Amino acid sequence: MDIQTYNEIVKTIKSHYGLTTDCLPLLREKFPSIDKNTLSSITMHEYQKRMKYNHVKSAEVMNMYYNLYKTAVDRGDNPGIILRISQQYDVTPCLVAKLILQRHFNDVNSINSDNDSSSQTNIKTYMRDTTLIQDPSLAYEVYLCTLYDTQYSPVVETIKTSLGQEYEIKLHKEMLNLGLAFRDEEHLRKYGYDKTPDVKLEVPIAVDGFVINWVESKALFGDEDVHREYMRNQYLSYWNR
Amino acid sequence: MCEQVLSDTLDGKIQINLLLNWLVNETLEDATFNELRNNKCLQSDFVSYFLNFIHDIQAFTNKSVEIPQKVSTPKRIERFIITHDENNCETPSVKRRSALFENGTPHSQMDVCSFIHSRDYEENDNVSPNNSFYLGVSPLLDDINFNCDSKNETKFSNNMLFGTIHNRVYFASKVLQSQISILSMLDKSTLRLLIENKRLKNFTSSSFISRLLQIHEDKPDKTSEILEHIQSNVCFISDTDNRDNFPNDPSFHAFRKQRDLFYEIIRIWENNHLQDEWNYVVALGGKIKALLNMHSDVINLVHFARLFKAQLLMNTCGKHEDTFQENAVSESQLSFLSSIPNVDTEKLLRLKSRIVSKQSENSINSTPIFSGYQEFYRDFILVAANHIFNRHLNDALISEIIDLNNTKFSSDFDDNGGSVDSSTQNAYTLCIKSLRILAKFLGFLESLPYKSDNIQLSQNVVSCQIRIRNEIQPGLNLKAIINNSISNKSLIVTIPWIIKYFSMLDHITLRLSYFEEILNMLFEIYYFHLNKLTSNSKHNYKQKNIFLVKLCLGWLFELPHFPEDSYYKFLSQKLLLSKLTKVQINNSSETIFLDELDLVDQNALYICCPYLQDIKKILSDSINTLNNPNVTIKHITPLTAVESPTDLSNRRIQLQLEEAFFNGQPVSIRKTVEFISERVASSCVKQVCNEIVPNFKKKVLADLKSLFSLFNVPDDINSDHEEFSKIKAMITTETSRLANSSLNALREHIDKELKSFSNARIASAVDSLLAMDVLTQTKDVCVSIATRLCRERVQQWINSHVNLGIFSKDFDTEVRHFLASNSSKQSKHKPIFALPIYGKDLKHNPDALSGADLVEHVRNYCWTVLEKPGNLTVDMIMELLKLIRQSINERCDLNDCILILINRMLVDFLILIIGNRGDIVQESDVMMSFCSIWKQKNCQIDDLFKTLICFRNIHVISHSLNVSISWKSFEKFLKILLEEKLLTCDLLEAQIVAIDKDKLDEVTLKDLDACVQAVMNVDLKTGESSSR
Repeated sequence: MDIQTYNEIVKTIKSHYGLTTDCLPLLREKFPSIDKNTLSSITMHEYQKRMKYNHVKSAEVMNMYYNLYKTAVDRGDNPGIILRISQQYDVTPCLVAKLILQRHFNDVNSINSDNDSSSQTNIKTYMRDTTLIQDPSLAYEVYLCTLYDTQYSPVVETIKTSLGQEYEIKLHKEMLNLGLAFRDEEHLRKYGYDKTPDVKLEVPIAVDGFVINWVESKALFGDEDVHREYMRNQYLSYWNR
Repeated sequence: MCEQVLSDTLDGKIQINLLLNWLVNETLEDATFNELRNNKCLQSDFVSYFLNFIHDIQAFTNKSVEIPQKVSTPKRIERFIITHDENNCETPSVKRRSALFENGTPHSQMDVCSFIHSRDYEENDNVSPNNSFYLGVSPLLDDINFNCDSKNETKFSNNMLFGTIHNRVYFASKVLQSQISILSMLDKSTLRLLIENKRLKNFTSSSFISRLLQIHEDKPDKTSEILEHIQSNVCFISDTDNRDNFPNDPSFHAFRKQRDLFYEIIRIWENNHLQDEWNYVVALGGKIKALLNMHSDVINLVHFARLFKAQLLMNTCGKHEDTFQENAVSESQLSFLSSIPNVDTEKLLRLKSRIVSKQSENSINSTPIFSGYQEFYRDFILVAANHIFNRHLNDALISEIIDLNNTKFSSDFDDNGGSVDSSTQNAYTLCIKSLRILAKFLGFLESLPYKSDNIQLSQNVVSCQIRIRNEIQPGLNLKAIINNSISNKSLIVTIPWIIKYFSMLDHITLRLSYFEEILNMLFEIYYFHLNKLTSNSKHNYKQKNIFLVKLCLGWLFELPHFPEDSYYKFLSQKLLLSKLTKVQINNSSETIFLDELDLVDQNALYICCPYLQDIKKILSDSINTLNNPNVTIKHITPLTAVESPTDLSNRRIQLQLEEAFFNGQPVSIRKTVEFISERVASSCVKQVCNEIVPNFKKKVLADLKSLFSLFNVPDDINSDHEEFSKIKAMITTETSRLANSSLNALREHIDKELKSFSNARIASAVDSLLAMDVLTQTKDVCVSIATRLCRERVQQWINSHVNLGIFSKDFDTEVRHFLASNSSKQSKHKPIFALPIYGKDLKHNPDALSGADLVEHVRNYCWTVLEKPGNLTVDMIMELLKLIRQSINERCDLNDCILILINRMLVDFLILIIGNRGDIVQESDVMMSFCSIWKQKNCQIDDLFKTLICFRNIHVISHSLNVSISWKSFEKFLKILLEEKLLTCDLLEAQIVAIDKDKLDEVTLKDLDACVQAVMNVDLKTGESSSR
């Protein structure tokens, strides 16, 4: 992808306000030539950066969201209350839902005088399985959040690892098809390498005038930040291996 | 100034922590240090002052023990005395301090001292770690009756701190305790002596002693080396010594005579030099002159210089150098001894060396001296006084040094984190030993014209000489050598000989600008790199490697003719620089080096630092004076020979034959054979690691499982049950029996496998690497020697690596699994997260939708049913389910987690359909299609419908636009689930019971009841009908 397209994509994402679910179709329409996985990967990075600014986990914010939610429920608003709050504050639904859940359980726990330490893990469990939430409308609201959040929903992790594996297997198959001599991570680990790229070429190859010694499959779009980060934490160690 | 700081610290005016902080953080501009800065004392000054203080006190009080000849360079002692005189020692503070001590509360102050001292060592501010030993060890040996009358002494009354034996021993043991990592490098007998030292026992914690004991236990006994033939003279090598290498016949024949004459001279010296009236010059002077003048052609001298060098190495670096240099066992005697059967020459020599005790000549901080054979060669050079010969010898030494310095030591059996086998370690030891001898003679030769008996040169003379010689550079390009060895990570090869070379140079040379630069490089290594390595535990550099380099450099820096202030100058420059640039000095250089191979063994350490021996000497000498009851006088106990004498002598003659064989062949043959044996051994080891052992292990694990099947563990047994523990014990013994027998079998198996493996390889390698015209018999001999060498190497590796550990780990887990599976029968299956790299199946259809795509599809459908329920059709749903089925069946890259997720989302999707488009479900059999996917059991889940009846789902249904149709659809859903056995009636009932009815409104409650009731009735009927 040329840098100009990339910049335009980022610009589109940045100008979008609200749910990512609406953002992706927009991008797909605007950039039909770009793979949708690439688009969602870029969106993910941009939203992560955005959430670092927008999302504040303080008691006041928590109370504010919770009060907004409560009033809306009492008013008898249509379902999708939390989604609308999230849209209004430009914070992804699951992040808002988590805070509201936490506040909700703080209330419940203070009545039952339950131990506080487990509440954090409880919230994770509830986010993962909304059928466990013992409050009909809240359960449904949180469920809607997990359904509409493409960035911070618990299913995203599963999708990411699945994608990762998908691409690793794809890489492996491609390499086999090309008839390249290589060792996979498993082998390297077995032989005590301290750093293990996904694929280490036993016989280096040249691509576009560069000598390639190893291949790492990340199933991510490599923007500048991602490259810099991985370069520092991982790739530089492969240099002399 | 420094004096003030120290005395303030001891008085408690300056907090010890503050002082230590100050010492560590050179650049800190903290107001808290104002107090210290007011004293205008630099950290480095303080450190040198402090060390002098300690060392001096040691020297002063330590009368009863022979202390190191020099504890500091003269200049610094002077400085100490000057600062001392400036401050009148009769100041009140001193008096007060003395009083304090008499009151018997000195510990905190002693702690201060030992603290500072240890820190100095760790930070490499201290120039010499060697001294720390002496400092630590010597007080332990003090005469108990030492009387602390010294307080009456006027000049050193300041030293009251160390005035009593009590304090000094306390200090010493503190220092030793902080340096346990160094102590662990010492040899076994020294450690023994330390452990048995009564004073140390009294003054240190028992945990320290037990740690020492532990280290002591872990030390191997002296490693027995493979018997080697003692070669004592340089053989004729046709490549370099035949007629083609000489300009003409006279020259060639003259060299033959020179060679013979040279050996005659050596023999004469060997036989006579210990006699009283024998004089080297008188007896040999004429012969030496004759030898060198026999043929004046340059080529002859080149050859002779090479012979001289080779013979020098042979005499001084042989295995028995230590023993025969003093004892003068002549060459003829030796070969005679080795040919007597039943006599172990080695033992004989060891015995002899034990009877004749060596004078401690390598005392710490003294310049090297020539002993034994070295004496002969030194005198030869001096008597010959032939400058042409000297020049050629110089060249020969340099070329050999460069060659040896470039020796590459590799870990044969890669991937072992730098560990090497003992033959590589021996090769390394021999290499540095040779290098040190060569460097010693090179230094001797180069400084010969400059050496002066007059030690105290006036400043004028010195500066004049420096001016003249400032641009002269030595024959060796030292800078390049050091830089190369830094980049090649071979400092442990280079440093030991470089320091030897330096130590031989004269006073002036060390002060030339070229050498100053080199010294700065060495300081850099000593201060920054080693420091970083020691402090940075992340880099698992071999402690011994660091220690070796540290000791070697430390020794050099403390030599009497070493430029005394240069190290401190270097330090203060660095400090200044870091202050100016505000950069932490430790970050100034990023390169971290040092050989990662574990080459340095104890042997090498003691060869490079012979003064370590002296610690043992001091300790053992003192045993008698201290009347230690633990004294054991060692007797020489005869050992039972493992091999019969005939075997041994056969083996010896075999080795001698091999050696003779190689001597008659070009050098390349020996190199080839060694190379082949080494590489084949390496591939053998790889074969063992990668093929033989894993395959064998599989077989043994199968045996183990069949062994388990013999044990009948009752189903309902509890893990605390007595019966259970009995069975457990039985299994454990059986398992270990199996492990032992398997190990023996494995070793035999390896032996058999490798024989054919290595034989074929060696034969073909020898065949292809040797020249065509080599005789078949010669080739055969080469093959058999290479085979033997290879087998020895592999055997060594097997002995150390093929042990019970191979089985024990897997066996343990197997046993644990077996027992666990018996004590709790129902082990829960966890979803498998990771897939094998090639996927879970060989067939793969990349066109089917991927896991992530499926999730997205289902999600999109959920959105549709929520936002535009009218758009959803049965066909759309059926299409989606078809895609999912296809992916599950055809893609090999779906892991369990994503499958679980898809199944869950389908359930949620169906609930949403029921809530929003109940009519679709009512009219078609989409539900059956959903169920067909769930029924595939494509992943390990059993709780898919565990929370089907929950507030969320009830909320969805009860908020439907058409509530009654939704409930009807839900009823149908439940019925189908029961019919398809995806849900049991019990589980359904349990879910309904679990619902908190208070949270539901009356209408919903009624609907739910009606729904459940209808489902239950049907189930009851079908249940009855089926039972009927």
